[in-house]
Amino acid sequence: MKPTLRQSMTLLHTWAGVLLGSLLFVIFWMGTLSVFTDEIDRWMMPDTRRGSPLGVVSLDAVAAKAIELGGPQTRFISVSMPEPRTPVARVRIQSDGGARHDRYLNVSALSWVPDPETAAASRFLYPMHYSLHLPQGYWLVGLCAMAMLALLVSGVIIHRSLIADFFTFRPGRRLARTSLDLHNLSSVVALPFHFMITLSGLVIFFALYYPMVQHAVYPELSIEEARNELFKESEGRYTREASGEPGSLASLDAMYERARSYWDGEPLRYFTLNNPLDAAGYATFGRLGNDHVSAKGDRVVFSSGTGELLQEPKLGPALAVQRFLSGMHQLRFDHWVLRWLYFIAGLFGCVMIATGYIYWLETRRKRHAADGLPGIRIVEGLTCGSVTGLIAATLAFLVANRLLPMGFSIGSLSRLYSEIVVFYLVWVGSFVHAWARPTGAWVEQLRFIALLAFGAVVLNWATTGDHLLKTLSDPHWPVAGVDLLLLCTGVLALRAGKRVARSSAGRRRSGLEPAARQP
Amino acid sequence: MEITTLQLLGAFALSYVGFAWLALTQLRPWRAVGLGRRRPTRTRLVRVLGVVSLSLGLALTLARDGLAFGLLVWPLLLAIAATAVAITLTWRPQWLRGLARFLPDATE
Repeated sequence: MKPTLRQSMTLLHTWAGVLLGSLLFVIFWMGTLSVFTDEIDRWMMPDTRRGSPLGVVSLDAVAAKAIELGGPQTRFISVSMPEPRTPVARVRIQSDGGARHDRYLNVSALSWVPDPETAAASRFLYPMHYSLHLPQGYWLVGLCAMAMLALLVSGVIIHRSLIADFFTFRPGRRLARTSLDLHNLSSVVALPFHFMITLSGLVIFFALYYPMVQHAVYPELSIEEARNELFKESEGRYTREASGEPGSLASLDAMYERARSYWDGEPLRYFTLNNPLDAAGYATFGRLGNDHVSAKGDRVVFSSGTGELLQEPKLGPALAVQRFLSGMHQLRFDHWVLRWLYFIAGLFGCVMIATGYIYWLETRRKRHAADGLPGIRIVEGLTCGSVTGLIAATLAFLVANRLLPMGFSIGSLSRLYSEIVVFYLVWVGSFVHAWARPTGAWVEQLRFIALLAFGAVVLNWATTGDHLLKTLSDPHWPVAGVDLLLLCTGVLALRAGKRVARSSAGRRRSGLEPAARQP
Repeated sequence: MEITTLQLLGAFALSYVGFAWLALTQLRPWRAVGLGRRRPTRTRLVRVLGVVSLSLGLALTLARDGLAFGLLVWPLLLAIAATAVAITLTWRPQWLRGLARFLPDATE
């Protein structure tokens, strides 16, 4: 007999959820944290917490400082200007021969901030959101995003009583019922968010996911050239090769003043210099854009040697839509209410994925135990490691950041990589732990999370002196906010641990599960 | 308090009240608030009130944030308001009695 639509959608929802749920959780969790990338960076890089008062800055002086560091081989410089959430400039330099720098500059004192020796959120947690730190990882992320869209649609179709259950949450019932209530609630109330955030995430990488489209538009060009040509025509991206003739920099401050006339007087988000010491070098200026959703950069490009205008801001209609969607996704604008709402909605997504797994487990426990199937144990370990394990790993990353002294290294492993190794060790360890101790893993990992969260707050106090009383009374919101969220995490983890302990004690009484061996 | 904060709180309150009314026209939430077992039959007016309240929330959000930002803020505000109503119905359903009395043939 042909299965009904609901049956086939259930099959799709179950299998896509179980197979890709743990990757989806990683993407949602890291995406949720990325809403506060700058704040986590301030917490993990204490030297950048208090920077220069924002004001008039000489771009020429900043560029000279960068070239001094990069040396005569400097090929590319990118400078993100200070703004309230990041009070220092971030300067990235690439030189011929492969040398790279990624440093922070106090622009009013024109002095380098000591190397923070951490990848923090901007170089570790955030890139994990879209690449999983795997080679070509964005393909896997794209696959997960497509699966997410399918999960959302199939979930709506298989939901038995979407309207009647809209406001239903029964925490006192069996865990299977409670987790299904929570799964439905967190997905249905935030459905527009889940859908748009997933779709816009895919749209950001359209040029990577659909390379053949560009090739079809410009059939005579290679894929790489076609992509450059597409962005050149649609949003005024400008490139040109170095000439080999030495050159020098004309006044960047004068170029910036001209660029600003295109931006209704709005200030600068970033500028980049390509081949600044070559006669064919060019300087690109990007608009701050704090007051609109769209991530249109309104780029203005000048010849860096002469100050001649090479490219005005330009945005074709199709790319204007893409820029709006990616702006909506990346939240580069200044809107604190929306920032917190995104954070909460992101957590709804995390709850949706985790409770989906728990429902799967709870509804199959009895049957799998009776039939002697191994599925429960595998999926329970997978769930535990990818939910509580990932949260623990993230917190261990923060704790390691406060515990490892500056200049630390083991062998050839710098402090920056040591923090990342701690992250992966704890994460892999949590899977091993979950598979080895199926009965106690949840509670133990939740307690470990609480310990790490409280520990991180104490360590921040001990190593930087920025305790909560200080950061709240003389407001320093980035650090106070991260500390407060850590405390919330700790309290929630303890409460969740109690609830899980009660529920598994209930299962033991009903003889479904052997008692955990007590040492 | 700044006007923008008031607008935001107002939009949230309107969304909460709107969802509470929509919820109360359903059987289970109605029983939870403890105003009798039989659900009022003439519920259309209350549903209209609920939708009007949600729409006023949208208007306030648009006035506060403009079209582009407002259309991002509103659905997220709705998500939190709906969750808040669900949590109220779970733990403090009696709080919604005042709103329940708006149902046309609600009896004590």
